[in-house]
Amino acid sequence: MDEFPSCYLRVRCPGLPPVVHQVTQFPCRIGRVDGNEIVIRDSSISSLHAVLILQANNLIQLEDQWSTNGIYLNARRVSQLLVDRTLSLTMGNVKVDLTVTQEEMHQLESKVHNSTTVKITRDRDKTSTVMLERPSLTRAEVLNPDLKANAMKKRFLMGDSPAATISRIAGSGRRGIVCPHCWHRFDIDEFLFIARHQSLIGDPVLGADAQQRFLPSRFTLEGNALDAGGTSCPDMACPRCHLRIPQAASEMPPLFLSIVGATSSGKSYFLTSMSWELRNTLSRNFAISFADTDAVNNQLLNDFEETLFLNSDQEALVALRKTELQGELYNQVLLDNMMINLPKPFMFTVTPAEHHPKYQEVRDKMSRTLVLYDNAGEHFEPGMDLVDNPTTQHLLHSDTIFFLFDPTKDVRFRRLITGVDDPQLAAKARVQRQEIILTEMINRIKKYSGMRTGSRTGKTLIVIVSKCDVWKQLLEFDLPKEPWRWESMYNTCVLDVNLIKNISFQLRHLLEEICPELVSTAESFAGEVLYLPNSALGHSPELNDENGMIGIRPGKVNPFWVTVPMLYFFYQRGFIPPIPVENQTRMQDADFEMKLSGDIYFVSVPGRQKPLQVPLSYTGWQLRCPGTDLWFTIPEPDQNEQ
Amino acid sequence: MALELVYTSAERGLRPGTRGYCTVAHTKGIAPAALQILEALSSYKSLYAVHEEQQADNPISYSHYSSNLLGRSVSVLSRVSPSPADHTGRSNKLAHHVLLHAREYPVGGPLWLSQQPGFFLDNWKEEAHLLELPKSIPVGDSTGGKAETWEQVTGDAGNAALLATLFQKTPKAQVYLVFSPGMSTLSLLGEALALLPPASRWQVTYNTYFTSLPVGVNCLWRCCVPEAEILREARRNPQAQIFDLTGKLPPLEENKLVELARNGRPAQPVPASEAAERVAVPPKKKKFMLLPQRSVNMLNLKPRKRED
Repeated sequence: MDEFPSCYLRVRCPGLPPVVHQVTQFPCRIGRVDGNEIVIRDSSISSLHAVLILQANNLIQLEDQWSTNGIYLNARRVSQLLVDRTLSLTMGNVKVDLTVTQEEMHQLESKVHNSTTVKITRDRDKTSTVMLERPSLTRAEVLNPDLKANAMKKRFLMGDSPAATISRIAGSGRRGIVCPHCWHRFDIDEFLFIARHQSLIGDPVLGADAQQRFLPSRFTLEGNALDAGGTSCPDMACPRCHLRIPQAASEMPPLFLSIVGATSSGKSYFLTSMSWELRNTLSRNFAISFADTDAVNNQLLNDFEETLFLNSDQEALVALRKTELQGELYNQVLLDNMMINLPKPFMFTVTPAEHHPKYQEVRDKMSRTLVLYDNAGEHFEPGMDLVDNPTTQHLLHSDTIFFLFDPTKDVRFRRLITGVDDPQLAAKARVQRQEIILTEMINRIKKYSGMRTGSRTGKTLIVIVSKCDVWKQLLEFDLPKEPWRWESMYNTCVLDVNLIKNISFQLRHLLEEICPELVSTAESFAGEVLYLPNSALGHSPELNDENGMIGIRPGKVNPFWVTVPMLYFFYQRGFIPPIPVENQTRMQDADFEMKLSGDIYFVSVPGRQKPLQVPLSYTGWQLRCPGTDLWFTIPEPDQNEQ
Repeated sequence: MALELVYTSAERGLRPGTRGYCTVAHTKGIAPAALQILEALSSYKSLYAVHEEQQADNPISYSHYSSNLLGRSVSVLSRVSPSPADHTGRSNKLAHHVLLHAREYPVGGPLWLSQQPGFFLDNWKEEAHLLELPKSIPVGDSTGGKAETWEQVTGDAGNAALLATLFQKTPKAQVYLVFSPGMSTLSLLGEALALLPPASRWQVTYNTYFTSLPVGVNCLWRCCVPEAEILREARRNPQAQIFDLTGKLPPLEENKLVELARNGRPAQPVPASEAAERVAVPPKKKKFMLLPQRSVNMLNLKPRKRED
């Protein structure tokens, strides 16, 4: 037992072995620079960070000396602490443990580590230092595996553990991880881990029930972080929103995709049908694996898929619930003392299958995490872009946006659709101006990305005209069942991009006649706009007279073209090849006069009063003139000049 | 002054341009920060899907939360439940929240208040509009009768004392009460809370159908269905108190609360004055923090300056 008050302070710096100090003289200054009694050479420590003082009643107190990074106990910043029990603190990047007796210090050591080698040296009058050997990975070794890591440790770093993931990303040169929850960009070494010890509950961002998050300084040899209770922790979290990021999502760069649409435009049904069909289509036809990155995150979507596609009662009238603005589709966090609702992302891992013809070549480039969100339509209404409701901020990060246009909500479309018994077309069914939603979406993107007025985004905008089972008779041709075919050259299917472009052009023409404001709004924003028809369910829903709800019978669900927007998205990224030029079927091109003005080609067609207007994004593709059997191709710019 | 907010899916909301899930009514003058918190408390997770036969058995969530997010402590009483199809023919819910301050607390406690007829809305068919006057809070106390719901559900009215006894021993203990749909958790919690002295009743936060904890609040008494995910996590924590109404309850330790639950208490006259019927809130004791003794010479330390 000590004769005079003393305490033991163990310092765990990243990359260095722990050092234990016995403090017997007070005040004992702790800081980064020489002159302090305990020097911690870490840049996150202030020059004078804290002081241990002895009070009149022989109690030892630790005081923060207005340090930059503070002293944290259980993720709470403290300015004074009585050292009357074992304390595990964080000062910047450094872990500090305080105990009153040496026995407590030894107990602390033995909880975390299996074997110790103790050397006691006296290098100061006031403190004694204990040097310890540890069989584990340090933070520096994880971040830089070549640094002092022996062969055994390097072997562990090649596995599938969180530490291995962090090590690989750190070594890849990839800068920044984007959180799929809050879109915060951070460096790999800022990853937090989720504590597992039962005493470490209560997170300042996620609430009283959540496990604490922490910045690890040590990892087990299996590659898991060690929390303050000495428990191995494999789960990683964002340093800002503290929400869990699946390991696979951090390893593969994300591909964000936004689905936008008015209320009751069918976003949830579209998302459900699309994900279900993609699971089959991609692997069967394109040698691409499309799987849930994390079953927990995708649980709700999986439930939706079961309701529609795996329902044991094929004749029951089922419905997906209306998407809410809070609840299970969102994570609630406390940031800057505000309750913020962040949409839960649905994440899918997209990788080439081993039998992909260019597997070795594209394996790294194609291995991505696809991130989708099912926002409530209300979120896209004007005035709903609030600081506490950043649920549509994913628009900024998405390379491609799917805008769901519902013709059953447009009065002009409804007048043209006849002979269809669909409750959504009933006289009392509500209508809505949907280009307002599109405008609002555009304004938000411009506001937050600093785009100049009048400039266009590089994002691709795909306008998905939904519920085509109701309105497809307005098109002058039959839609093929699937726009891909087998190509023996690649041993997989290839996408008929010309067909897709042609159908887009025809649909654009139809929309220009019925709701031109939609086309002009879309094309004033994005350089490439594609218009695609689809039907998430394949047939009209029914009205349940008992409860007044609209439902669908699982036995009748037959999605149509729900995967095509995503296939085009993958084609743009080089994941799916198009039909080789030499194998394309071409019609005889008619000789039309074409004139380029700005970004529109004016194509004079005999018999038409006004020339056809064709955006630049259609150059190079053979298109059919609407209402005729005549075909034409707008040549590529260099060909045109010739 | 008690404020209220009604949230549901409607063709037109109270704020211009809003529709679908939105606020359809709130007390005039309610602060935007309070609006945000109340809307955030409007989540509901259905136990049964809209097309399932048992859809009518979806539990109603009655809750009492205490929040400091407005810069002072306030109580929020809420009722959230599924409601008939909205104007688009899709599922809907109705959330009614009442925000009140300590001086408005009736003696009966939050559960007594929640059970008063007409206190909460159970349907909404009106146009969106402002509520001109603050909500009137009834005064009174529970009759303190026998815990009949507990007797009906568990066979022994004395089991109502389980929650109350635990609260008296450990006021911050979280309890999970496992129930089957169809059980009246509101009555169960009400009878348990009535066993506590009036001054303690408003310290108990609860949810009669608990699925997740909103950030910034705590919930002591949590009623969960057996298959709830939150319950699976709680079962892994040896410190979690779980009382399973669908199974065996722990043996009762006989005490005054158990006796009270079994026999009820004699009826007491309700105080005449309204002030007397509010819970007397003891004045807060000011805490003085002793400054650390600066007897040591700090002059030889480095000057304190802010660092980048």
